[in-house]
Amino acid sequence: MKKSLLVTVISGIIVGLGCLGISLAMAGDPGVTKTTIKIGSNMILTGSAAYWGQGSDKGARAYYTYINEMGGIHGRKIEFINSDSQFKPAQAVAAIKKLIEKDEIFILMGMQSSVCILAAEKVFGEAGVPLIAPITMHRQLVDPPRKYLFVVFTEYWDQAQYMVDYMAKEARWKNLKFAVIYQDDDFGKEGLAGLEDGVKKYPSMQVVAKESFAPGAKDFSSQVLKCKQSGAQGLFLSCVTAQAAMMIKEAEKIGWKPLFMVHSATADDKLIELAGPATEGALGVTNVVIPSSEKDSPPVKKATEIIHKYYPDQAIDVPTIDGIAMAMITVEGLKKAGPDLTRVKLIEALENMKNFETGLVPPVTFGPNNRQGCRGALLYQIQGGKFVRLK
Amino acid sequence: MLIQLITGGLAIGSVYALIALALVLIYKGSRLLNLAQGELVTIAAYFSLAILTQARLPYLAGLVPAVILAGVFALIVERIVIRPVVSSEEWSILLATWGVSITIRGLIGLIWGHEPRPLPSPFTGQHLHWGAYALSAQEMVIIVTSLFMLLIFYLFFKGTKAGLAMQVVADNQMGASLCGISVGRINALTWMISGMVAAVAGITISPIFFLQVEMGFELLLSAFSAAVLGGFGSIVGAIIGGYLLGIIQAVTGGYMPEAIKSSVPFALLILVLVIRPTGLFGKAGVEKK
Amino acid sequence: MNAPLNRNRILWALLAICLLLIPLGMSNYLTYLINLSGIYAIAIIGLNILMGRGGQMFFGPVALMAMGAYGAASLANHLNFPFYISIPLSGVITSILSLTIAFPALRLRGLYLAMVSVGYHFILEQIIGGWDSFTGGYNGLNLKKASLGGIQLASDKAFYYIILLAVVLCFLGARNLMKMRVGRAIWALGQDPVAASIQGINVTSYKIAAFMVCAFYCGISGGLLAHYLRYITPYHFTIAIAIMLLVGMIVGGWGSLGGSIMGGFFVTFLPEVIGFFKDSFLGASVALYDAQETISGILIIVVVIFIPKGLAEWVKEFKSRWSYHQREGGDSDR
Repeated sequence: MKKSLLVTVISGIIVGLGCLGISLAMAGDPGVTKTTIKIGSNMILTGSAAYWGQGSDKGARAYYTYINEMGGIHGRKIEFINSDSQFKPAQAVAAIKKLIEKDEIFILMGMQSSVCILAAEKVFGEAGVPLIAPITMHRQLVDPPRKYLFVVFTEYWDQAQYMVDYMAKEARWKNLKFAVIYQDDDFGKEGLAGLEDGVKKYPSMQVVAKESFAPGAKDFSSQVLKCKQSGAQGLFLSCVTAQAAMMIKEAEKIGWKPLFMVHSATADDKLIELAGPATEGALGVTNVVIPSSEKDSPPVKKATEIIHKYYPDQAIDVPTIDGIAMAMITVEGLKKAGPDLTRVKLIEALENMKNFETGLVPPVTFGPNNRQGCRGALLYQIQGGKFVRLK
Repeated sequence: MLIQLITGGLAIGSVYALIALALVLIYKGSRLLNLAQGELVTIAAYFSLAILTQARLPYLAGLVPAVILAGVFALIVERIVIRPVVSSEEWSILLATWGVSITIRGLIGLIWGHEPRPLPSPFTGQHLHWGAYALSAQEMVIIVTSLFMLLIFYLFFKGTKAGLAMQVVADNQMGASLCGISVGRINALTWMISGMVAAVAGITISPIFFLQVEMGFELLLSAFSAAVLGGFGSIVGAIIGGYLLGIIQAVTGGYMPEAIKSSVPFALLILVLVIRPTGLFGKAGVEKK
Repeated sequence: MNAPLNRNRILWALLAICLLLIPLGMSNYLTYLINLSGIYAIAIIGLNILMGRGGQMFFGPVALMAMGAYGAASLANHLNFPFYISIPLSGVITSILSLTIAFPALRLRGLYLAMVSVGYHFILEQIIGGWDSFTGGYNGLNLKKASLGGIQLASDKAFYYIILLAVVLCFLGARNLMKMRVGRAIWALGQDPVAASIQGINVTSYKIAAFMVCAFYCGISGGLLAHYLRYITPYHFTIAIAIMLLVGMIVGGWGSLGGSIMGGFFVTFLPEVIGFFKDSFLGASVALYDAQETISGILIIVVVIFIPKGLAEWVKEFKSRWSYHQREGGDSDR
């Protein structure tokens, strides 16, 4: 008797909610009303790179709340609906489908993980939902350029080149032998390609070892060992922070002290926190300022103020700054689109964006055929346990 | 390079050995496979994180309460979840432990979040060298503490009344209860010990691998392979299986492509089960329906 | 005699009409969820034949789904087969490939088979992830839109009908199979293999048959998934999904084909229901994924403790109690 009752209750609840779901799904409009704008996103909120999603989520959310408190955009308040990809493309596709068809968002912004974006593009591209300012970069996102996809960040490929070009001018590094350990998917391979193509330009440099790993791997002892044995003097890590940290510690364990190099997916304070003093001297190339290193610059101070107003405990790290910077760019686009807000008008407005300064990333310029907002990168080195900008 | 790989393999092998031991212990005692074993490792590691960061105790002083807490936690799980289902079908029990495993992962995610966290340890960054070969101090700690745990365990099992009672229950539950041994109490004890053994594994490995919500499940699979390798049902086998698996994994990693390396525990598992289901040390006829 | 038969017929006809008309009133998103439920239901039917009836503890249905999915994708992409050929063909291929686990499984029972099947699943996951040139690795594989005679079928509603047809065919096929000699032999095997062999049933052949049938169903399920989502990755075929299928099977009812369908819905709708609860009671700041995990875990424990026989069994009880009140006499169908 008791069992049947429990089952009845559970079934009843499921059916009831199902019906509710049906009725909710039938209401709705395409993300813009007289009073609200629905902005959706998909970030890495859980999993080993979770601090990226959590930080960016807070950064963006803080800015939107700030804008709402100042009256919104042409009288409309922003409703920010985020979702989790768990760094897995399959989850991202499902989440985006839900955002578009159930939540009926107006636009997407700040999405993370290029692999996830490329997978989800099937859904949002066909639905005509624009994606503004994703918090990631990949060659395939701008090549070929899509009308609805506005990318801000510099590609990992460009970042790696920038770094190699810088190093080629320094006496201590211009004859460097490189080893690369990369994640075995498009994200990791792009960094690898950037480094290899960069090194090809300078005959005195060479890549002597390349090792890969499956996403989510935890053990890198064999890869690091093989790189050490190749005689490499520098180790470029094309991956995310947790794994880079493990590899650095592994190298430390086997007594190998190469010059570590990372790109923007990894260059932040978390790396130092996880890997400790072994990171000393490491190079990090980024497309956004590393806030701990630029605490006194006015844009970083302003961003910190806004974020701490709503999230007083939030660490001001790279993911958080990414979030707020991308939100700033999105809001600027929405402002310029005017009170009669449609997706077409927003795209037009963004195309006319020239040298928009956030102070956190290089100036942003789009154009009728240009969907890559920033060029150039910033180079940092870890000195005395902190990131220091190299000129 | 081979020796370097082997020494690395010994450390992870110790962890596999401990968890395999915990698995086999529960299996021998209650004839069930504890799919939540990995999560017992994880929760213990997080307990130690909380203790070491909140109470600011030094590493070793923080270890002990964490291990005890883990044991108590395992005990609670046994009471609340396992007791009611212990007489059901094998399936139900397996699923119940899986339910526990998912719940623990969810709770850890809710409480601590998903960021990888390092466990503060005084041994981080220090190494021991013999000529060209290096072993990190933490790995040494893992090996030493595991051997120590195994020794204590051996003494307990063979030398104390409770330990002997556990052996009897493992062999023959019916007979044991006829002798007046409280099977329920012994099962509870088994779980508690399993939890504590798992705790030591988790706490010693965390400074190297970082604490993450998902760390338990992977360890579980490897530990299971290790236990099967050694002969599921044999405690000595589980331990040797653990070290063997760690070494085999490390060595193959050094000479073979990446994709193959991750498959090693599973391929080994299938190979062993097909060729010699009783493992290296198992007794014949241990099969179940 | 004719009265109850006519009533049954009317009920079935009503059901059929409802099923055909439902998608017209629903949002795409809800249709999407129902489609996924149907796809998983097919896999659970396969699993039920092997595990529920045949008694083989098998954790690998998702590995078989993966084979079906990547198989269908390759047939469609490289050989340009249309979906209505690539999917069944992929089912057959998966069925043949399943011999790689069926043969080792002959020597194993119970827990050992369960663990080997887990190992099998993981090895397959590694193969899919590592074999970039064939599967696209971790970046995933894209498929073109399915088309029938020149018309492209990509919408959720279009696939609703395709999947509905597939589910009906699979269900009827399984039911008839179970009534035939093969089915009864598999069932006997599941009850007690020793007794079965004494009665002259070739345990080996029927065990293999059970694996192959399960693989066929899982392969079809995977093929449908591939053509519907038009994008597959190793992350679509994780061990967590395998376990959810198992839970779905148990919730629906061990060995029950109707229960398999319920199981499919359970697997797909549970995360949605939990998400809804979470937003209403716990608020947006609590991480959805973790809340889902915690509630799923507790739910599994509760189900195992309180509803071991599954929902289908409960429905049968309900039905027979209801019809007992209608008229006296024995039960209707079995």
